[in-house]
Amino acid sequence: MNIRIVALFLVALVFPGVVFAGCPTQRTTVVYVNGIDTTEREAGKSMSLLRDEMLKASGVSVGCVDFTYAYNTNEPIFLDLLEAGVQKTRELTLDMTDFWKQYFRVAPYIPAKWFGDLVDIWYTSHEVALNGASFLLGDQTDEHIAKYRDQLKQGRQVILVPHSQGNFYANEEWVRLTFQEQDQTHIVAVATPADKVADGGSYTTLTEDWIARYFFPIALAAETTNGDTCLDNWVCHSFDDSYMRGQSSRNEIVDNIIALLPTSIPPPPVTSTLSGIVWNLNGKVVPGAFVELYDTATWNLVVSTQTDMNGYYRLENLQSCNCYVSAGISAGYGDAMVTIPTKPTNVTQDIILSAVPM
Amino acid sequence: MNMNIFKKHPSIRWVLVLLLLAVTGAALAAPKRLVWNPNQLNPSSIAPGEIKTFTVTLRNTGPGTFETEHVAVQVTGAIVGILRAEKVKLPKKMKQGEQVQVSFKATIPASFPMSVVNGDIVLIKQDDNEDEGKDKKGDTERKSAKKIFLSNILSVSLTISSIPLPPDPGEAGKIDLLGVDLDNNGVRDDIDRYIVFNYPDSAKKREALKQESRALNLFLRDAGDKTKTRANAKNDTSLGCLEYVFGADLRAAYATDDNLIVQFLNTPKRSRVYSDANGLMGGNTPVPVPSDQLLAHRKASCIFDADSLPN
Repeated sequence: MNIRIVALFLVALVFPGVVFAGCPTQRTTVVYVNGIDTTEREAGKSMSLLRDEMLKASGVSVGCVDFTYAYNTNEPIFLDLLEAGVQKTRELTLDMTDFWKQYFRVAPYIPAKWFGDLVDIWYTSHEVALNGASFLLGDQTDEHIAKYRDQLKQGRQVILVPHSQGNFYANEEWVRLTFQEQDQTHIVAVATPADKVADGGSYTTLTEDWIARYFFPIALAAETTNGDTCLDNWVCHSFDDSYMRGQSSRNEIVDNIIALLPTSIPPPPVTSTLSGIVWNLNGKVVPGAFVELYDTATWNLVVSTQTDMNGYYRLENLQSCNCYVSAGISAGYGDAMVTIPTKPTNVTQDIILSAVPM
Repeated sequence: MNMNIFKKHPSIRWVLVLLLLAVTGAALAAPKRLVWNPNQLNPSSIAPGEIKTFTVTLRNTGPGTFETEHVAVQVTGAIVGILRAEKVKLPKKMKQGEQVQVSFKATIPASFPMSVVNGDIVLIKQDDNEDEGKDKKGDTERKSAKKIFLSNILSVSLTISSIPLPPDPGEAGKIDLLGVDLDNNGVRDDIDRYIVFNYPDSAKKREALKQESRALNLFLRDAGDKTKTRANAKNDTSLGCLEYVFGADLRAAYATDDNLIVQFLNTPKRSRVYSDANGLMGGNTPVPVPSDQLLAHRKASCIFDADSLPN
C-alpha cells in the first residue's frame, strides 16, 4: 500500500475532522449561543450572519472553520411578553401580526410606543430573572456540552460566541468541561450580562446597548460603540441588527474570533501515568487486586487494571483530571484521591486495603 | 279625507307619519323573499384572459308567489365590467319555495393585473320609467335610490392571478390552529395567497416560502410532542433553501423569512403554540455544516430543483 495513504489514514484516526476536509491546521467549530427572547430559527439566522462575516474576513480559511448554534430557551419569560402582546393588540384592536411585526422589526419598521412600553415593563418585571445572580439554566446545558464534546473528540477547537443571556449558559458550560476540554474551548462574549468571561476571554458590549446599561448591573463594562445611531431602532441590543450591523462591534467580534483560530495542528494531548503498590493491613503486597480510576467530574471509569505479583499497578496514557482511584480484592478495599496534572507526570499513589470486603 | 280631523287633533298627523315610517322600516328590515344560495361567491383564482362561469341558486323563500316583472340583476363594486349575469330568464312568477339557477360569467381581460376585486350582486325591482338604468345585457348600475332590493346581497370576491390560488379563507381561516387548506398542498390558503401576491415575479422564492410554510405547519401541529417537534425542526431545511435562493443577500432572505412568520402567526393561539414548540427546542445544537460545502448544502436544502425554475 502506498505509504502516503497509510500515513493519511493514521493521521485521520487522530484528527478525522482535519484531514478529510483538507484543513492544514486544527479545525474550529464556532458555536453561537443565543440569549432569551430568541426563537430557534432566529438563532440559526444569527449564526449564519456571523458565519457570513467570518468567511468574508481575511485570514480565515473556509475549510477550517465550521459553525453551529447551541439553542437555549426560557419560554416562560417570553410567554409573559407574548401574553402582554395579545392583551395589548386586543385593547388597541390591532391584529396579532402587529405584535410580531414589532417583534421581528419587519420593514417598513416604525417603532410603536405600545410595543416599547410592553418591552420596558417586561424587562423591568423580569430584571431579577435576567440578571446573573439568579438566572436559571435549564437542563439544555447538558445537551449543549454533549455537542461540544462531540466536536472536541473530533480534534476540533470550539469557540463559543454567546450573546446576552447566552453568556450565562456559555460560562456555566465552560466550567463544567474537563481541564483538557477547557484548553480547547474558548469564549468570545457579546453583550454579556455576566461579570466575567469564564475562560478569561474577550468580550464586546456596546456603550449604547440600552439593555446592558439598565438591566445588567453587575456586567462587564461596555467599551465599544458604533456611534450614536441605534441600528436596530430599538434598544441597541440585537445581535443581528446592532452588533453585526455596526462596523465597530462587528469587526471587534470577528477579530476576537480570528485571534483564537489555530495556526497549526496541535501536538497530541499530553499524557501521564499513575502507578503504585497495593498493600494489606499487615504490610504485605497484594497481587491480583483490581485497580480502577474514576474521573470525579463525571464519575466515569477512566481505566482499570490488576496488580502484578509484586502488588504493583501502572495506569498509562492518562489525561489531566481530578480522579479517584480504588483497589480491592474480596478481602479488602482501599481508595485515594489523586490529581493528574496537565503536564506529563508520573504520579505515584500506594493504596492500603482495609478489612472491608468489596 | 276630511282635513278637519287634523285641525281638531294635530297629533294624529304625527301618529300617521310615525306609522308610515314604521311600515317602511319593517319592509326594509324584513327578510328578503328571494335569497341567493350561497350568499358569497369567493371562487379559486381566475387567470387574466380567462372566462369563467359561476352558477348560484335563487330561491323564493317568501310566503307566496313572487312576481318577477321589472326585476333586474344589479352588480356593484369593482367587479362591474368583469362579472355579468348570463341571460337571466326568471319565470314570470316564482312560487313559494321555487328556485332557479342564475349564472354569472367572469371575463378577465388578458392585461388585468394580479388583484382581488370585490363587489355585490342584488336583485332589484325597477319602475318602467327608470329603465334607462339598464344596460344591454340586463345588468343595472345603482342609479336610483328608489330601487327596491328584492334579494339579499350576493358578495363577490374574485382573485385574478395567473398563478392558481385557493379562495381567500378570511376569518374562517383563523379559527383552527392549522387553518384552511382547500387545495391540499400543505400550505395554508391565506399563506398561499400571501406568497403569490408578495412574490409574483419569483418562482424560486415562492417555492422556498411554501417549503417553509409546510414546515411551520408541522411545527405547530406537533407542538405538544418533543420528539416530533425535534424531528420536524431537523427536517426543516427551509432556511438554508431561502439562503440559497437569495444568494449573497442573507439579510434579504431573513427579512423575507420574518415576513412570512409574521403572517403565519396571525392569531394568539398560533403565536402561543409556536412559542411552546420553541420551548421544546432548548438544548438543540445542530451538527455543523462544513463551511467549504455550504453552497452545496444550501442547494440541497431546497426540496425542489431551484435551478430549474426560471426566476
